[in-house]
Amino acid sequence: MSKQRFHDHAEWLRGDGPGHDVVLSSRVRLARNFAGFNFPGRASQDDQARVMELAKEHITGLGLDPGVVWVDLEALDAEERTVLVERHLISKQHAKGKGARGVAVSNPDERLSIMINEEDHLRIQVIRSGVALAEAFDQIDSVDDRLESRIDYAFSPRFGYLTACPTNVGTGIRVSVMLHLPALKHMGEMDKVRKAAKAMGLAVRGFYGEGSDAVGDFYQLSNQTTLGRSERDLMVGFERDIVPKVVEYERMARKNLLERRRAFLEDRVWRALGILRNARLMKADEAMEHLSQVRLGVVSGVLDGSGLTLPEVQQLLLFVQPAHLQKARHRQMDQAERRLERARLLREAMGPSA
Amino acid sequence: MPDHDPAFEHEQGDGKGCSRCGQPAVVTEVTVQHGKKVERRLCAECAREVGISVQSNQPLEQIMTSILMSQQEKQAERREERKQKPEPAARCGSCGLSFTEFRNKGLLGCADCYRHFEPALAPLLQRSHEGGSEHAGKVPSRAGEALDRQQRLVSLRKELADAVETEQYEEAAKLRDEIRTIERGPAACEGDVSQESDTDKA
Repeated sequence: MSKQRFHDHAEWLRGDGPGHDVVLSSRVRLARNFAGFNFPGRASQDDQARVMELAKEHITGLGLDPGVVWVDLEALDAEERTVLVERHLISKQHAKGKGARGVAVSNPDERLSIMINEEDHLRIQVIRSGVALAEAFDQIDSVDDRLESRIDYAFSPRFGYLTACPTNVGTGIRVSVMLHLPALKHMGEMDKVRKAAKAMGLAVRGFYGEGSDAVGDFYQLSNQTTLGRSERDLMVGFERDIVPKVVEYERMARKNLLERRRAFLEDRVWRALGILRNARLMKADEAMEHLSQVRLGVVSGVLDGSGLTLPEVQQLLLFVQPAHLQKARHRQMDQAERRLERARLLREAMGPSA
Repeated sequence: MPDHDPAFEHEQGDGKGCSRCGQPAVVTEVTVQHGKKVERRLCAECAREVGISVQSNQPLEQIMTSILMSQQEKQAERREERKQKPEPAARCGSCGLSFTEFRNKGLLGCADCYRHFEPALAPLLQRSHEGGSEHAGKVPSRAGEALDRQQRLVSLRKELADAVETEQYEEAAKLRDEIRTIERGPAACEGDVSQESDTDKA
């Protein structure tokens, strides 16, 4: 079980779906707790183990299509857990956690994942390429309905679904989109985006969520309010207002760059590609920065004729991460070795001057 | 510091005798008389007789009791304060989390915390949810039934704990089976009920 192989392409990096030039992925997650047990942070070891058992029985018993792989996190080593974090299937917190905990992942599409005994008993997540919030919501809602027909959730008529952290109580829903906003960054417009997001009650986070920096111009935009607002209402807000506006704003900035500052844009993109094709040592964050420019080059047509495709570039966003790099090379490496191997992997993947 | 204030220094069993009875001394009384420092070593018994409490030699239980007493006093004081200003119940009756622990960690301990701390939580929730104070979304289709089962589970688990404590293992086994059946939920009734209910009726 622990040696379960995951596909090279994570769902959220497939590089298709509507609006994929700006939106990498759409994600919906629900926080749920079993009735009658303390929340994981205050549960006894026995209760934690019992929750795992119940979750396994009910989740695998759903007969989902595609089926799920059940992963016991205690049985994995640190590197294997990091692979799951890098694939956005579990949180950093879950990887580092203690005691009986796990994750169920739909296989092979990796669209659905259910963390067990993270901050809440269940954290159900559905992720899709591009703008696909409605599809993601429909899938998660149906999984939730089916689980709820078998499990008693902790629920109160006044406060809704009860969660360990009161900031999730109510619907327990977190809707987020992963955006690539390099043009807005170049134009110095990110402050405006942040202010607008704040005014709409949204959080702006980095590539790896809470507490991570916006490395490589990738930003996650997510709701912060879960009480007093229905799921549908929130979804409509994202689909009709928020996402189209940000996408339009970034597209305008890209158009502006292409029409008025083409030389500047081409220089940035080709320099980045030149570094990726020639560097001998490469840090993960630096690779992300350059891959971000190359991604902009691919979707804006600047790199037409280079032979690079969006799925290839996005796959590299994942394989420059430490655990994936080690997985690709089938061995453990220290940081210095990883920099060397990362640079080699990028040269092999990106082109002629390797 | 006034002249007559005595100070006490504990001795770590250096073998010197009590200046009253010659037993091993545990405390040294230091007083200042007519501008001169006067030391008197005393054993535990003599110290008590002259009205000095010997903290270091107090049996552990006694120390615990005094700590507990002072806490009860504090709690009583807090209860008094609460009468004037409504404060959240000190601890959640189900999981034992205190409101201070919640404030420090930002996480509640169990579903019941929402009920126990409701008066204090409500304004916090409103602030972090842009004024939202009542759930306006999805409701589990079995919510009513589920709430009953939830309460039933809580009381069964308490009975189980009692049974284990009083070593009524037969009773405990029965309770455990009942809890498992309820935990499995109604879906279990469709399929694998035959294996489960047989043991119940046996």
